[in-house]
Amino acid sequence: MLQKIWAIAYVNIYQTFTDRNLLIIMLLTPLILASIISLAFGNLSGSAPIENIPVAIVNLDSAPAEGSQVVDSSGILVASFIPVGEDGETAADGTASMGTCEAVQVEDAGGQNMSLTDLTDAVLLTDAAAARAAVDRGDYAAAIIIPAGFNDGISYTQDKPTLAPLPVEVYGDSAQPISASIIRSVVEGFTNQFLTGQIAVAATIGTMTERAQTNPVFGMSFAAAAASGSFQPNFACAFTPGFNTIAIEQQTVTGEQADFNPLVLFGSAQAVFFALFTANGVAVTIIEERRQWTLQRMVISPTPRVVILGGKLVAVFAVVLLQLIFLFIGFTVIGSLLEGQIKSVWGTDALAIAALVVATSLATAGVGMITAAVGKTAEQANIIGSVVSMLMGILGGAFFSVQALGDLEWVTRLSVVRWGAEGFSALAGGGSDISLNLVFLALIGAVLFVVSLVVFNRRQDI
Amino acid sequence: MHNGHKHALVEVRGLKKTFKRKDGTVVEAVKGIDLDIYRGEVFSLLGPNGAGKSTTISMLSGLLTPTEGEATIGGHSITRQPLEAKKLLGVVPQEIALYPTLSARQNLEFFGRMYGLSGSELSKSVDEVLDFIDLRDRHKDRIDTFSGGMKRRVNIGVGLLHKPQLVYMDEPTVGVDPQSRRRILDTVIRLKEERKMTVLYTTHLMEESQELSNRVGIIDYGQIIALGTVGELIQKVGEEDRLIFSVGEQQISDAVLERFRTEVPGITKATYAASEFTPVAGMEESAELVVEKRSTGTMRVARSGQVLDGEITVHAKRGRKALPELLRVADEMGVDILSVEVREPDLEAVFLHLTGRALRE
Ligand SMILES: Nc1ncnc2c1ncn2[C@@H]1O[C@H](COP(=O)(O)OP(=O)(O)OP(=O)(O)O)[C@@H](O)[C@H]1O
Ligand SMILES: [Mg+2]
Repeated sequence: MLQKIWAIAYVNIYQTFTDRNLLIIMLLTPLILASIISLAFGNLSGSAPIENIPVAIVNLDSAPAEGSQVVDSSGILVASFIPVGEDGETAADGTASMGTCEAVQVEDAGGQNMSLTDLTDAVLLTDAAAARAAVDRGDYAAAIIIPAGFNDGISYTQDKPTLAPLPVEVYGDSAQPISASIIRSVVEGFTNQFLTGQIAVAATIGTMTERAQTNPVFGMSFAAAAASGSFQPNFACAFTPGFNTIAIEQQTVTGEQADFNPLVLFGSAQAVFFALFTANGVAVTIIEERRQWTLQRMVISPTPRVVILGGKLVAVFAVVLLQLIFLFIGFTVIGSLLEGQIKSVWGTDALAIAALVVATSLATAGVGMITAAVGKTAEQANIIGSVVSMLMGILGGAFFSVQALGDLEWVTRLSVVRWGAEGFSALAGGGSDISLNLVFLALIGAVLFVVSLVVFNRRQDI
Repeated sequence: MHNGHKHALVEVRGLKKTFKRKDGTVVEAVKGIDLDIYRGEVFSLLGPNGAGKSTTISMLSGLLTPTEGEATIGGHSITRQPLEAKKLLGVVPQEIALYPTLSARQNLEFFGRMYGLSGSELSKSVDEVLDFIDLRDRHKDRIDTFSGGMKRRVNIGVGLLHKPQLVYMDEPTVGVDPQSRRRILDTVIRLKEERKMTVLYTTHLMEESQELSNRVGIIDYGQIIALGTVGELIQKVGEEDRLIFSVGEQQISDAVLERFRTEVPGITKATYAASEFTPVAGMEESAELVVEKRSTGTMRVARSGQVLDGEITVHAKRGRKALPELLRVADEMGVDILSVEVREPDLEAVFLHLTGRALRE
């Protein structure tokens, strides 16, 4: 019985993988398509840098009083995005202190330095609500809102020896998740620098004060300088991240810290999307073989119907599994070529990757079987399969980032493409908790298998 | 085996199949068939297109569930013990039931596995079948590169892989050239004589039935209208010869036929039939005279409505003996006989006798 199941599966696998046209559609098209979409997305491993991300900055904080030891961090943050002279009038407060500092350098994923002003196109706004609304409209990829009291919160002075940083809000456009996440990373980099800078300042001021107490000459000059406020700008440069270039830490749309690689996101979604087509195609051969009379020939042989259907089921699963394995290896090769080094774009948790590939194959095979089972004719089954595959592909993020759906995001949960692609993205980002994805995919696969077996078995014409 | 015949391998009782079409109409494809097929015989089901031959074969091979009735193979009910019954059975469907992109060998191997063959037993069987159908040298070629006749042979080979005692062959010569057809008929004879197999053979060609079968069942509109050996069936029509006189364009009066019937001894029936020339549609006015292209390759000019090929058919107990007398009467009546054909009684005549129609439309 198992031998017969395998014989049927083998014949189907063999026919699929000896059909050159089918192979092109199954294997080559998704590789090419995902690569093109990734490149179009503009950031395929640094080959096409993201530029001029529109950003709104709202500084609700006020510059510290003259002579205070508080550093104008909010001013520095604003000035980093909008240097003096570029938008002179609006970038009023605190920017003067940037005069002697170098433009902030950031390192993009490709390792090339580019200035923050190249990366972003920032505008200073005064109303936080208006800024958020503008982001919602899509005018800006993100709004950076610096809260009132930000400077005080992260400043260390003799009067206030503790740090109580207030969070800078980065309000991102969900339709531009990658741009928004880049801005978020930049701001995070800044605030971290401010904090570490302040800790250093705290240490320095502490030492200087100590020194001033022990060395009266130094003490006098220090006091004079402090009174004039003239050392502040120099310190400001020290806090500016430009001194230590920060890498843009990109984030995946799932929000986990990761090297964002569109190839991972679109590659996995496209792979699952095409696997759906393949699964449907192989499953539909059950109906096609009836026309070809090879199905009848099997029914005439002493082979129970359930064995025949079982063989087909194994075939659908195996073909999809082989296809996905090929595609994931293919994307690894493409990713490595673009990076110039051999690198697993899918992360390093081989066991989890394998488990996810298997679970995704089960789910796609299940979808393929059920779409074939409900079609009356082969043509009908193909059309149903194509429509379902397209819907799942669109909802699953094979063509655009699904976060763009905003409140409707739950709809994407109906797509096995989403569940698969999300899992692969998580693994690629170094995450490992994909158990929900695994369970869902395996379960949906199992349920659809059983249902389609029942449906097929009930059909009089099989 | 309640009918007492101990050699019946296949027993069919009251087998019926009714199809319901989507538009609600009901097709009674098989209206209740009873028959026994004995061990070692070639039994043919002879009937015109749509008679219900394939439907019967499908029910007897477990592909279609009978609406009513029952069939057993080697004592196993095809509906209640299908796996046991199917093991005894090889089927050659009317359609070429093969994977076109697989080679002949791959097809044979795959279907061999469906009959539980594997390993060396399988490859030995496949080799034997390839020899039997004479395709050993092409075994690695894909089926879709084969000629129609070669595909038919592979189609037959698949049915023989597991060396069944019984094989059904549903119109295995449909759509093949005369040479391939001869080959297939010889194959059937070899199956019966060399392998002592039981064969259920369906055809709409009476020559095939007549040559191959021990017994024939004539099927029409889903019913067996006659069953027996070829000899038994021919006796049914009274063993009359048919004499066919070609008279060309001559008009034959009833008087001629009347004289044939009354003056020549042993004549039971004399009829005249003629085909009239009808011009191709749309050419009626433009050409009163139309060029007719004849099947012999000759051309001739005919007038619309003109009689072309007239034929007098005479049924006689002993046709050859009556021939001189018939020719004499014709001569007296001024009828010019162009050619004469004497047809001895055959299954065609039996069918004609039973249904009033010719087997081949
Ligand atoms: N699945 C079906 N649904 C409806 N009608 C059917 C179906 N199968 C067969 N029939 C009808 O049943 C009748 C018998 O068909 P069948 O195929 O058994 O004839 P056959 O004797 O094999 O003819 P042929 O020589 O053309 O193969 C035909 O009228 C056919 O149209
Ligand atoms: Mg038929």
